[in-house]
Amino acid sequence: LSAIAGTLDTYRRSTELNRLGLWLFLASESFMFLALLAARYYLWGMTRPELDQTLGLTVTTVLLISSWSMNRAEMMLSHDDRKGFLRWSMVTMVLGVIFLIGVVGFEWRGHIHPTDGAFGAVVFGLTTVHALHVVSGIVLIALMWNLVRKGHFSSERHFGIEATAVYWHFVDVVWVFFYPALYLMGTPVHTP
Amino acid sequence: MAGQRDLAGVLRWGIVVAIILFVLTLLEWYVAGHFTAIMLLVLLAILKAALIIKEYMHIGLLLGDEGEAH
Repeated sequence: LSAIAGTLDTYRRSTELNRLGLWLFLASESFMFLALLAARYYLWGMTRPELDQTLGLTVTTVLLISSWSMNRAEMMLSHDDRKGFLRWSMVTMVLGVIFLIGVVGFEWRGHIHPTDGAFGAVVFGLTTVHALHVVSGIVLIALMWNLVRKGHFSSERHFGIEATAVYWHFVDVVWVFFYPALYLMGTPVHTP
Repeated sequence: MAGQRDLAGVLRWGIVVAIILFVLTLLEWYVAGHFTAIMLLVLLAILKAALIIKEYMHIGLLLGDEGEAH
């Protein structure tokens, strides 16, 4: 019993270090996203292109719901409910794909193109970098889904799941700032 | 720590947070459509981000104020 307790204690200590590393990584990512936001405010000022408002609100809602489903999946695994994790992480992946379809499949096919000067550069720059993070988030969740299906992780040992969930929520936090910057702030300017 | 609390309570709180986030998003959308209030939009975004970071990302675990590690 003391050996098990010792192993758990070692795992807990290494988890604390891993957690610090994860948040430092996210902090470094934040600087890149801040630079993109700075480019938006520098180039657009108090204007913005006319983007599809309904689509913007829809994809934002989808991503928020995906954060909720990821939280639900993580909490279920932390209570040894593996089936619950598999179900809700699958829901999260599907919502992530729907978000990508909304941005890449619909917004990118709208009237703004990458060659449309500052408007095109910012819309495509911000959404492309963010979409790549959504894709990597989906890949991470898929990897965790497969590991849990094979019996990995438990209520005591699941930092991989925690890290994946935190990363997914971080991608959501980035969109929380991108959504008003792209769709809501400033006076809409008609682009041909 | 969230993981050690009663599961039903934790899941219920997750739903409450999601609803608050959705309401704040609707508020953002409404404000942008009816007023020119950039600072209010910034404030709402910060509020939403803070809620996600605290309740979903469990930043308390990093700061050591949410009890045991995951």
